Amino acid sequence: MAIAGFLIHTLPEQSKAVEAAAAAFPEITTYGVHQNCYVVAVAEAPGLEMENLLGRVQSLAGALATYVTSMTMEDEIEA
Amino acid sequence: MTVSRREFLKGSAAAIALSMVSGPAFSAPAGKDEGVDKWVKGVCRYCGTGCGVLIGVKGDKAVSIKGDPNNHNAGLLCLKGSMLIPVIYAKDRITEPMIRKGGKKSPLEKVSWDEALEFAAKPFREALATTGPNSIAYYGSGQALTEESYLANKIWKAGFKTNNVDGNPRLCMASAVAGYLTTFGKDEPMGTYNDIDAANCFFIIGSNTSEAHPVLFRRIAKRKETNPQVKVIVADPRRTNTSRIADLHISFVAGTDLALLNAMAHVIIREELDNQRFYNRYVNFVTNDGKPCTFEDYKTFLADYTPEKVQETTGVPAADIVKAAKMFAESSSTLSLWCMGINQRTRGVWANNLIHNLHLLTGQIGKPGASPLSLTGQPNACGGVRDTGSLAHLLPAGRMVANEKHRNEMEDFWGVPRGSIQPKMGFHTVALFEAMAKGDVKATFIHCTNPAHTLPNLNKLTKGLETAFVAQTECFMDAETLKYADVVFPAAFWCETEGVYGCTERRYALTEQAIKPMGNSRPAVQILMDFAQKAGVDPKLYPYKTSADIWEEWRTLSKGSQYDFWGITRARLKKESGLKWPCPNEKHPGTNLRYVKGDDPLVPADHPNPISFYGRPDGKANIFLRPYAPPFEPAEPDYPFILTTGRVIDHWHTATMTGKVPELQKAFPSAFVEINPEDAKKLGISNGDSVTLETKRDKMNFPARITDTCMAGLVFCPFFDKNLLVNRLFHDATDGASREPEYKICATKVYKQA
Amino acid sequence: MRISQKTAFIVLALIVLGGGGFFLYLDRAFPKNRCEGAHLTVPEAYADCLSCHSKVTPKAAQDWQESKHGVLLVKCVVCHGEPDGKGSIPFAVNPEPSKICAACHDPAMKVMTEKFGAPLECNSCHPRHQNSMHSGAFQSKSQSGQSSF
Repeated sequence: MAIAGFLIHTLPEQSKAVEAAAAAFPEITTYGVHQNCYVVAVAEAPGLEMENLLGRVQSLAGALATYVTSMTMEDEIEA
Repeated sequence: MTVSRREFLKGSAAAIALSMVSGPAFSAPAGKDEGVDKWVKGVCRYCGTGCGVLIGVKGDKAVSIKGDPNNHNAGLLCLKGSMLIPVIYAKDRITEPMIRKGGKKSPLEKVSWDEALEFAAKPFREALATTGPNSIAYYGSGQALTEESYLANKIWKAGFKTNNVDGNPRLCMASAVAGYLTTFGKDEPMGTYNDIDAANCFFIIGSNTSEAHPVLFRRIAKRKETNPQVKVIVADPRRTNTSRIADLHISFVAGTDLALLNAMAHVIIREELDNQRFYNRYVNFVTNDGKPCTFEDYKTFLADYTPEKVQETTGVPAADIVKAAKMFAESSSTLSLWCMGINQRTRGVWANNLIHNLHLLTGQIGKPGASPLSLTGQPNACGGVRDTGSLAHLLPAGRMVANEKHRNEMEDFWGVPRGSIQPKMGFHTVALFEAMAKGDVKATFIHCTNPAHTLPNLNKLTKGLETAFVAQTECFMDAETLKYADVVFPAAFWCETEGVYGCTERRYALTEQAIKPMGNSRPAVQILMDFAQKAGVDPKLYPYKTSADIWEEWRTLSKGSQYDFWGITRARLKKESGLKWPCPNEKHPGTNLRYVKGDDPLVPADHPNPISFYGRPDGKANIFLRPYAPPFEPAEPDYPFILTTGRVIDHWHTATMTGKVPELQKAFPSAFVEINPEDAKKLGISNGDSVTLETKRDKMNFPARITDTCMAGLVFCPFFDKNLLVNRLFHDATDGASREPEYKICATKVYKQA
Repeated sequence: MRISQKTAFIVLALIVLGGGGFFLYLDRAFPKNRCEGAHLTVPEAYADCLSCHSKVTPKAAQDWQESKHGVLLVKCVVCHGEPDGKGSIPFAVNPEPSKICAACHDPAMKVMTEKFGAPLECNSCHPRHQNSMHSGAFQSKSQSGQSSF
């Protein structure tokens, strides 16, 4: 399971709506809107599905882009 | 306390994301306060759309610009017009007169006005004294104010007594002028922009309207959006942004549009969509060499232009030709629009005639939305140069130097002796620069244009600038022509002086003075008069204090002519946002449908027919049987590609103005060559590679831009870049009637730079 | 077999630094050799926004492309200015309607103000970058009218 911290860049008037829509994903936890246009969020998903998930988040109405700031995959690394 | 590993990691991830947001600051500071003291009415400095503008003035500076809500553009502006203000305050504005004291190789030095004027006038006086008036010339511009062109025309033709008066409209609109003249008897369109709002079919050919006339493109797009039945046909070897709204895009091999137009006429007759009632009453059929003939002759002539045969020539599928012809003829009102693709051709006049033919054949003329509307490129080619007759073969208001009656009328009006104006046409542009190179023309006054960048076959024709004495007005230090100037006069720029522009739709509109001329620059009308005086022209010929005085004279001259705009007084121009001529008196609101009884005041109220093409002696227009003839230099085995040139929305002409706006310059810093992906693949060229274009004149390297805009076999370069003067690659062959060069077609090799 | 926690945290730290560094780099000033749009000749192509932003903010770029402003080539710089702030239009991520929209749409704004009171936020009904209220900017609504693009 990978854990990714990311930001969703939105239009100011849609930030609340985007936050709610993102939070509706079972894999995503949101931590509020900052500077009026960035939704702070964390996604948990198998590493292989992460890109797909973030793509779906980016396609939300009102979402301009997603910026991944960190990704942890250490429990998927095998010796 | 226990925090699971997972929660810890999630928390860290969130914290990291949050820290990213708090870090770099993003948003812009609020714009500075742009309080405006007054808004001054004017016309945009750029294209022939002629949008009205309001220039915001604070103190003694122009600080902002917006569209004039009362002009035809209803407050809208395009990319370039909305960013005009920075151009005024460009760092390289020329604000002092300059001369080269030691010949062409010496540097330009700043001098006083008196010294510059004398230094300029002396060679003209000497040439006049030794080799006569035809050894001097004036080369003007469709960007000069009407008053400036009218004045220069008078000074040179009646003062200096030479017809060597030409201008850059020769390079852009001359074919359209000759097209209107030969078909309808008088220059200038009969419709207006109002026709866009009533058209049900748009036939756009040889025009990238979305980039060259953006505000008109918007009006067309809006018409289409609000009326689902409207059809748009775009015919262009390049599939440009304009085609985004097309119902049918036709790509034809460059130069074969004459065949296409005849094929459309063929289909219209075959499908019985021609309007017999209309042409029986209003049209003469004329052979290519000017002899009268009949409709049956026309039909026989068109037998060679079946869609199947023309498919071979043009590459356009026969079905598309039929579709286009039907769309054109079946619509209740069809508006044709065209520009340089049709005009800048050695068969430009014929191409214009063929477009008019379609309208005359179907009766798509003289009613709202139905008209052949030639798009003018420059802001004042119509009002300033065409209407005032400031070309080598013309005199004001549609008169010709070759016509004795016309010459006498002008001599009497201007108060000069009969016989002052020469009967023979002067040098047209290409011939002028050839004559300068040969030494037949020793001194030329260049106003408001940049021929060292815009002439065709530059390597050859710039020799004229190297040889002859050149006195020019110029506002910007980076103009290519300055390299050859012996004298540079700083002219007041745009809203630093007052004057009239006449745009595509016969609208004359006034730009009022918003700010003082910068530095030591002066209004061009002042420069012309001071120069004329030093050069020995009788001051009685130009007794004007302001440009308004010149307007008054020109307005008076037009009275009673077929260009009658006696009703367009300066006072009315100040109040209104432009007026459309004919406008014979101060109560008249201006004319929308020219040649139409009830709309056009020059058609008598008791005229028997609804339409009168009064420019022609019998009131009828001409359908000419123009055959297809190939361009001067089509593709050949050794030079297998066709090179064409044109514009991008971000730059106006030679970019001496738009290049001063950071946003425009950085959107398009330099030229490129557009290559079709198929061709690129065959030639092993990738996006960004340096590509050599080699013609019979020269070779140059351009960065490649791979795009499917151009059809296979065609490459395109914009001409704005002074570091990539693509006109060096072109020949200078001209249309036999209009003398307009063929900037749209020459043959080239294309290969990756070695 | 699990890897040691120490290794895992080093890996994590590297990813964080790398990811964070990337993000910071992305969102600082736009260095000239980073934008794809500047690849043709001259690096100074700060106003050729679209080529980079179609990758960085793809939704906004596509919305604009398909909107009326996109069809009419009202390019990014007209409203947003240049990111290095050296242009003639003040750089703004969120342009102010009374200054920017008004340059072209003043008559319509005056009408709206009369109808609905002032001052309106234009984008409360006309979403930025998107076709306002109609889909398919300038497309013919009839079946037979097919756009080429």
